Amino acid sequence: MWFYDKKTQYPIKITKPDPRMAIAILTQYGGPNGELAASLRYLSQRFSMPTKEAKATLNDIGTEELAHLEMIGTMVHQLMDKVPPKELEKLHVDTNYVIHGRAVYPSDSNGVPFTAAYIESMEDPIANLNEDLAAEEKARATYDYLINIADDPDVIDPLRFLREREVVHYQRFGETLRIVQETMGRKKFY
Amino acid sequence: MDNLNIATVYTGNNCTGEPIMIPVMPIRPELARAYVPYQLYNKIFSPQESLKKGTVFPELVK
Amino acid sequence: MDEQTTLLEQIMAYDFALYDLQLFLNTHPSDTNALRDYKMALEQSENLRRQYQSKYGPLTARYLPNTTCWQWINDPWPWNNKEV
Repeated sequence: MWFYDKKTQYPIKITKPDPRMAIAILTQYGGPNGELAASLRYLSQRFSMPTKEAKATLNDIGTEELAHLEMIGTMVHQLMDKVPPKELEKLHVDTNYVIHGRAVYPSDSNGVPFTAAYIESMEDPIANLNEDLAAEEKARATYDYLINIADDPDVIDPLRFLREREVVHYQRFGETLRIVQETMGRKKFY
Repeated sequence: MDNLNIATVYTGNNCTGEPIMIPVMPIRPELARAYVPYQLYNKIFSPQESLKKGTVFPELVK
Repeated sequence: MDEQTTLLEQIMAYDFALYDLQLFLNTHPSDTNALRDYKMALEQSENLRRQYQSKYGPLTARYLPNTTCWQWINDPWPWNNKEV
């Protein structure tokens, strides 16, 4: 189970609203390479992980992704908060507004709702870990694209932080794959 | 890189289980397998610097 | 930056370093240098948390600073921007 800590993993204080950037970042909330997909992927796959190192890694990275989901939700909220509807219309983000208002809803930037079809969970740990490496790399690329179109340092800094976490997670999944390869090669399971 | 191939990491937990020895890169890599080098522990950033960078490990800043 | 935010960001820094070390230790459970650094950061984080909670209220619901008022619900929540 989990306990809640009343803080974000990285400080987020956005003072300049930017609804277009909010909608761009929204894809990391409920899009194909987003944090919700990441968390559900790892937390579901952990049940079929064969070694103690692999169980811990999937459990703890899956947990950290929930903290990232909270960071992304916070950014979307702060970028949209209190922006007048007429302003949203001018910026062409009014289609999102007429469906959800200024709420945070798990969809991608085009409004496509979150779906579990974005993830896979198989009994084969090698297949799962290869998917996880790819997922981290795709999320890293998405953060690169977001950083390319952002110009407020209050937005760029947390995006850079999240991008770096993808690199670290890639390394840990890579090490986990090495352990699973070693132990399966010896036909020995924990 | 040569000495990296010899360096090994003991992933097993000394307290509860049998250690597994894993070289930084596999000594006999197999075809159709993906391998990431196993990280060795070096100097780490201060907590404040870590938060700014997104990791405590300088060698993982990419 | 006010004193509360400064202290909270210090806690974030220590907790973050702890989490990154935790992920490292999951794949290197016998690394005594990493274990030593983890222990040092953990002690610092716990000190800072004690300081923060006694001054500004709970960071986790399992903390009761006084018995007349349930302070867990107090603003700000992490997604609220205090300056807006």
